[in-house]
Amino acid sequence: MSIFISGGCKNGKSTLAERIASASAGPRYYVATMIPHDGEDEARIRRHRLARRELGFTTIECGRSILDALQSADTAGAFLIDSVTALLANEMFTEGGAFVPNAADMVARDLLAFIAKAPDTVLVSDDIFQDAGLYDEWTERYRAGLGMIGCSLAKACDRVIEVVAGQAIIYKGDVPWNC
Amino acid sequence: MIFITGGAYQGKTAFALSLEDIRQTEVFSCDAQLRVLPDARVVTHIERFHLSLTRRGLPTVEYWQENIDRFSDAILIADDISCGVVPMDPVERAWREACGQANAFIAARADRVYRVFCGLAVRLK
Repeated sequence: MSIFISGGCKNGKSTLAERIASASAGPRYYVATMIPHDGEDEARIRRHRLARRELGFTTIECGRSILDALQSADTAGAFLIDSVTALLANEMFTEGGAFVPNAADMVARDLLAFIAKAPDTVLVSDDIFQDAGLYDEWTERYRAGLGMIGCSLAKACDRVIEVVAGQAIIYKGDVPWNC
Repeated sequence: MIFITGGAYQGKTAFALSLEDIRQTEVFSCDAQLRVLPDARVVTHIERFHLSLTRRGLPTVEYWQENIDRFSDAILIADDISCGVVPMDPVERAWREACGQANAFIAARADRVYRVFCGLAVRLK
Protein backbone atom coordinates (compact mmCIF):
# COMPACT_ATOMS: atom_id res chain seq x y z
CA MET A 1 0.00 0.00 0.00
CA SER A 2 1.59 3.27 -1.13
CA ILE A 3 0.45 6.39 0.71
CA PHE A 4 1.19 10.06 -0.06
CA ILE A 5 0.81 12.48 2.86
CA SER A 6 1.01 16.27 2.62
CA GLY A 7 -0.16 19.30 4.59
CA GLY A 8 1.16 22.30 6.49
CA CYS A 9 4.21 22.13 8.74
CA LYS A 10 3.87 20.79 12.31
CA ASN A 11 0.38 19.44 11.63
CA GLY A 12 1.28 15.83 12.49
CA LYS A 13 2.14 14.41 9.05
CA SER A 14 5.19 12.46 10.24
CA THR A 15 3.39 11.19 13.34
CA LEU A 16 0.55 9.83 11.21
CA ALA A 17 3.06 8.36 8.73
CA GLU A 18 4.93 6.62 11.58
CA ARG A 19 1.67 5.25 12.96
CA ILE A 20 0.69 3.83 9.55
CA ALA A 21 4.13 2.37 8.78
CA SER A 22 4.61 0.91 12.26
CA ALA A 23 1.42 -1.15 11.88
CA SER A 24 3.26 -3.22 9.28
CA ALA A 25 4.34 -6.70 10.42
CA GLY A 26 7.57 -6.90 8.39
CA PRO A 27 10.79 -4.90 8.69
CA ARG A 28 10.27 -1.12 8.96
CA TYR A 29 12.61 1.40 7.44
CA TYR A 30 12.68 5.11 8.05
CA VAL A 31 14.32 6.86 5.09
CA ALA A 32 15.58 10.18 6.46
CA THR A 33 16.29 12.67 3.69
CA MET A 34 17.42 15.67 5.74
CA ILE A 35 21.15 16.37 5.52
CA PRO A 36 22.29 17.89 8.85
CA HIS A 37 24.02 21.27 8.60
CA ASP A 38 24.81 22.08 12.22
CA GLY A 39 24.78 20.81 15.79
CA GLU A 40 21.10 21.69 16.20
CA ASP A 41 20.18 19.47 13.23
CA GLU A 42 22.36 16.66 14.57
CA ALA A 43 20.76 16.85 18.02
CA ARG A 44 17.28 16.73 16.45
CA ILE A 45 18.24 13.72 14.36
CA ARG A 46 19.56 11.88 17.46
CA ARG A 47 16.30 12.60 19.31
CA HIS A 48 14.15 11.37 16.42
CA ARG A 49 16.28 8.24 15.93
CA LEU A 50 15.82 7.28 19.59
CA ALA A 51 12.06 7.87 19.41
CA ARG A 52 11.74 5.78 16.25
CA ARG A 53 13.81 2.88 17.61
CA GLU A 54 10.98 2.20 20.03
CA LEU A 55 8.61 1.97 17.04
CA GLY A 56 10.88 -0.66 15.48
CA PHE A 57 12.27 1.42 12.62
CA THR A 58 15.72 1.00 11.11
CA THR A 59 16.90 4.43 9.97
CA ILE A 60 18.45 4.81 6.53
CA GLU A 61 20.08 8.20 5.92
CA CYS A 62 19.59 9.09 2.26
CA GLY A 63 19.61 12.77 1.33
CA ARG A 64 19.81 12.22 -2.44
CA SER A 65 19.65 9.40 -5.03
CA ILE A 66 16.72 7.94 -3.10
CA LEU A 67 16.85 4.53 -4.83
CA ASP A 68 20.15 3.89 -2.99
CA ALA A 69 18.06 3.53 0.17
CA LEU A 70 16.77 0.21 -1.18
CA GLN A 71 20.24 -1.30 -1.76
CA SER A 72 20.58 -3.09 1.56
CA ALA A 73 16.91 -3.19 2.56
CA ASP A 74 14.19 -5.83 2.20
CA THR A 75 11.82 -4.31 -0.39
CA ALA A 76 8.94 -6.35 1.06
CA GLY A 77 9.24 -4.24 4.23
CA ALA A 78 7.49 -0.98 5.09
CA PHE A 79 9.23 2.28 4.14
CA LEU A 80 8.63 5.79 5.36
CA ILE A 81 10.27 8.55 3.28
CA ASP A 82 10.43 11.80 5.27
CA SER A 83 10.46 14.07 3.41
CA VAL A 84 10.02 14.58 -0.32
CA THR A 85 10.48 18.30 0.41
CA ALA A 86 14.03 17.89 1.76
CA LEU A 87 14.93 15.36 -0.95
CA LEU A 88 14.05 17.82 -3.72
CA ALA A 89 15.92 20.65 -1.98
CA ASN A 90 19.04 18.46 -1.73
CA GLU A 91 18.81 17.38 -5.38
CA MET A 92 17.98 20.83 -6.79
CA PHE A 93 20.40 22.96 -4.75
CA THR A 94 23.66 21.03 -4.31
CA GLU A 95 26.04 21.55 -1.41
CA GLY A 96 28.55 23.02 -3.86
CA GLY A 97 26.03 25.77 -4.63
CA ALA A 98 24.99 24.50 -8.07
CA PHE A 99 21.38 24.57 -9.31
CA VAL A 100 20.14 21.37 -11.00
CA PRO A 101 17.31 22.38 -13.39
CA ASN A 102 15.95 18.88 -14.04
CA ALA A 103 16.10 17.78 -10.37
CA ALA A 104 12.31 17.60 -9.97
CA ASP A 105 11.89 15.29 -13.00
CA MET A 106 14.65 13.09 -11.61
CA VAL A 107 13.14 12.96 -8.11
CA ALA A 108 9.64 12.21 -9.49
CA ARG A 109 11.04 9.39 -11.63
CA ASP A 110 13.08 7.95 -8.74
CA LEU A 111 10.17 8.07 -6.29
CA LEU A 112 7.82 6.37 -8.77
CA ALA A 113 10.49 3.68 -9.25
CA PHE A 114 10.84 3.44 -5.46
CA ILE A 115 7.15 2.67 -4.88
CA ALA A 116 7.18 0.24 -7.80
CA LYS A 117 10.01 -1.70 -6.09
CA ALA A 118 8.81 -1.22 -2.50
CA PRO A 119 5.01 -0.96 -2.70
CA ASP A 120 4.54 -0.62 1.07
CA THR A 121 5.82 2.96 1.22
CA VAL A 122 4.54 6.09 2.96
CA LEU A 123 5.84 9.41 1.57
CA VAL A 124 5.65 12.69 3.47
CA SER A 125 5.71 16.06 1.68
CA ASP A 126 4.78 19.64 2.59
CA ASP A 127 2.08 22.00 1.40
CA ILE A 128 4.04 25.18 0.62
CA PHE A 129 1.67 26.33 -2.10
CA GLN A 130 -0.91 28.58 -0.49
CA ASP A 131 0.85 31.76 0.56
CA ALA A 132 1.14 35.20 -1.02
CA GLY A 133 4.94 35.26 -1.32
CA LEU A 134 6.40 36.67 -4.53
CA TYR A 135 9.51 34.52 -4.77
CA ASP A 136 12.74 34.65 -6.74
CA GLU A 137 13.07 32.43 -9.81
CA TRP A 138 14.92 29.60 -7.98
CA THR A 139 12.38 29.34 -5.18
CA GLU A 140 9.55 29.45 -7.73
CA ARG A 141 11.14 26.61 -9.71
CA TYR A 142 11.51 24.63 -6.51
CA ARG A 143 7.81 25.20 -5.72
CA ALA A 144 6.79 24.20 -9.25
CA GLY A 145 8.95 21.07 -8.96
CA LEU A 146 7.54 20.02 -5.60
CA GLY A 147 3.98 20.64 -6.88
CA MET A 148 4.62 18.47 -9.94
CA ILE A 149 6.12 15.67 -7.80
CA GLY A 150 3.09 15.84 -5.47
CA CYS A 151 0.66 15.49 -8.40
CA SER A 152 2.68 12.55 -9.84
CA LEU A 153 2.83 10.74 -6.51
CA ALA A 154 -0.84 11.40 -5.74
CA LYS A 155 -1.73 9.85 -9.09
CA ALA A 156 0.44 6.77 -8.49
CA CYS A 157 -0.24 6.15 -4.79
CA ASP A 158 -3.11 4.04 -3.43
CA ARG A 159 -3.98 6.65 -0.82
CA VAL A 160 -3.61 10.44 -0.61
CA ILE A 161 -4.01 12.20 2.72
CA GLU A 162 -3.82 15.85 3.79
CA VAL A 163 -3.11 16.26 7.51
CA VAL A 164 -4.65 19.26 9.29
CA ALA A 165 -4.11 19.66 13.04
CA GLY A 166 -3.28 15.98 13.31
CA GLN A 167 -6.48 14.95 11.54
CA ALA A 168 -6.50 13.13 8.21
CA ILE A 169 -8.46 14.37 5.19
CA ILE A 170 -8.69 11.51 2.72
CA TYR A 171 -8.52 12.52 -0.97
CA LYS A 172 -8.02 9.05 -2.39
CA GLY A 173 -8.46 5.50 -1.12
CA ASP A 174 -9.97 4.20 2.11
CA VAL A 175 -9.50 5.67 5.55
CA PRO A 176 -6.27 4.10 6.94
CA TRP A 177 -7.00 1.24 9.33
CA ASN A 178 -5.31 2.82 12.30
CA CYS A 179 -5.90 6.57 12.19
CA MET B 1 -19.59 29.25 -14.35
CA ILE B 2 -17.09 27.01 -12.62
CA PHE B 3 -14.59 28.33 -10.08
CA ILE B 4 -11.46 26.32 -9.25
CA THR B 5 -9.02 27.19 -6.50
CA GLY B 6 -6.24 25.50 -4.54
CA GLY B 7 -2.53 25.98 -3.98
CA ALA B 8 -0.03 26.80 -6.72
CA TYR B 9 1.16 23.94 -8.96
CA GLN B 10 -1.61 21.55 -7.89
CA GLY B 11 -2.91 20.70 -11.37
CA LYS B 12 -5.92 23.05 -11.38
CA THR B 13 -5.77 23.79 -15.13
CA ALA B 14 -5.32 20.12 -16.02
CA PHE B 15 -8.39 19.37 -13.91
CA ALA B 16 -10.37 22.14 -15.70
CA LEU B 17 -9.43 20.65 -19.08
CA SER B 18 -10.67 17.25 -17.88
CA LEU B 19 -14.13 18.68 -17.04
CA GLU B 20 -15.12 19.77 -20.53
CA ASP B 21 -13.91 19.35 -24.06
CA ILE B 22 -11.56 22.32 -24.08
CA ARG B 23 -8.43 22.91 -26.11
CA GLN B 24 -5.27 24.36 -24.58
CA THR B 25 -5.64 27.34 -26.97
CA GLU B 26 -8.90 28.30 -25.22
CA VAL B 27 -7.04 28.83 -21.94
CA PHE B 28 -6.03 32.40 -21.12
CA SER B 29 -3.36 32.84 -18.45
CA CYS B 30 -3.30 36.24 -16.68
CA ASP B 31 -0.12 38.11 -15.82
CA ALA B 32 0.42 40.84 -13.23
CA GLN B 33 0.43 43.61 -15.85
CA LEU B 34 -2.96 42.72 -17.35
CA ARG B 35 -5.43 45.64 -17.54
CA VAL B 36 -8.55 44.04 -19.01
CA LEU B 37 -9.66 40.41 -18.82
CA PRO B 38 -10.39 39.07 -22.31
CA ASP B 39 -13.29 36.68 -22.94
CA ALA B 40 -12.04 33.10 -22.76
CA ARG B 41 -13.46 29.68 -21.89
CA VAL B 42 -10.84 29.16 -19.21
CA VAL B 43 -9.09 31.99 -17.37
CA THR B 44 -6.22 30.95 -15.09
CA HIS B 45 -4.16 32.88 -12.56
CA ILE B 46 -6.84 35.47 -11.87
CA GLU B 47 -4.84 36.18 -8.67
CA ARG B 48 -2.23 37.81 -10.95
CA PHE B 49 -4.91 39.99 -12.53
CA HIS B 50 -5.95 40.97 -8.99
CA LEU B 51 -2.32 41.92 -8.30
CA SER B 52 -2.39 44.13 -11.40
CA LEU B 53 -5.59 45.84 -10.24
CA THR B 54 -4.25 46.26 -6.69
CA ARG B 55 -0.94 47.77 -7.87
CA ARG B 56 -2.95 50.34 -9.84
CA GLY B 57 -5.15 51.08 -6.82
CA LEU B 58 -8.28 49.62 -8.46
CA PRO B 59 -10.92 47.60 -6.59
CA THR B 60 -11.35 43.90 -7.48
CA VAL B 61 -14.86 43.06 -6.30
CA GLU B 62 -16.26 46.06 -8.22
CA TYR B 63 -14.44 44.83 -11.32
CA TRP B 64 -16.14 41.45 -10.98
CA GLN B 65 -19.53 43.02 -10.29
CA GLU B 66 -19.29 44.75 -13.65
CA ASN B 67 -17.75 41.88 -15.59
CA ILE B 68 -18.97 38.58 -14.09
CA ASP B 69 -21.73 38.18 -16.71
CA ARG B 70 -19.11 37.82 -19.45
CA PHE B 71 -17.89 34.65 -17.71
CA SER B 72 -21.19 32.85 -17.10
CA ASP B 73 -20.04 29.88 -19.23
CA ALA B 74 -16.38 30.10 -18.32
CA ILE B 75 -14.06 28.33 -15.90
CA LEU B 76 -12.20 30.77 -13.64
CA ILE B 77 -9.08 29.53 -11.83
CA ALA B 78 -7.29 31.21 -8.92
CA ASP B 79 -4.23 30.18 -6.94
CA ASP B 80 -5.07 30.29 -3.24
CA ILE B 81 -2.58 32.76 -1.76
CA SER B 82 -4.38 33.19 1.56
CA CYS B 83 -2.49 30.92 3.95
CA GLY B 84 0.88 32.59 4.58
CA VAL B 85 2.12 35.15 7.07
CA VAL B 86 0.60 38.65 6.70
CA PRO B 87 2.91 40.32 4.13
CA MET B 88 5.08 43.25 5.27
CA ASP B 89 4.49 45.08 1.99
CA PRO B 90 1.22 47.10 2.02
CA VAL B 91 0.48 46.37 -1.65
CA GLU B 92 0.89 42.62 -1.08
CA ARG B 93 -1.36 42.89 1.97
CA ALA B 94 -4.02 44.67 -0.08
CA TRP B 95 -3.58 42.11 -2.88
CA ARG B 96 -4.18 39.21 -0.50
CA GLU B 97 -7.37 40.78 0.82
CA ALA B 98 -8.53 41.65 -2.70
CA CYS B 99 -8.07 38.02 -3.74
CA GLY B 100 -10.02 36.72 -0.75
CA GLN B 101 -12.95 39.03 -1.40
CA ALA B 102 -12.97 38.43 -5.15
CA ASN B 103 -12.75 34.64 -4.75
CA ALA B 104 -15.70 34.64 -2.34
CA PHE B 105 -17.67 36.88 -4.72
CA ILE B 106 -16.98 34.61 -7.70
CA ALA B 107 -17.58 31.38 -5.77
CA ALA B 108 -20.93 32.66 -4.50
CA ARG B 109 -22.05 33.14 -8.12
CA ALA B 110 -20.49 29.99 -9.58
CA ASP B 111 -22.56 26.90 -10.34
CA ARG B 112 -19.73 24.66 -9.18
CA VAL B 113 -16.67 25.30 -7.01
CA TYR B 114 -13.72 22.94 -6.67
CA ARG B 115 -10.53 22.90 -4.63
CA VAL B 116 -7.65 20.93 -6.15
CA PHE B 117 -5.01 19.28 -3.96
CA CYS B 118 -2.17 17.32 -5.63
CA GLY B 119 -4.26 16.91 -8.78
CA LEU B 120 -7.29 15.62 -6.84
CA ALA B 121 -10.40 17.81 -6.80
CA VAL B 122 -12.88 18.20 -3.97
CA ARG B 123 -16.20 19.78 -4.92
CA LEU B 124 -17.08 22.53 -2.45
CA LYS B 125 -20.28 23.63 -4.16
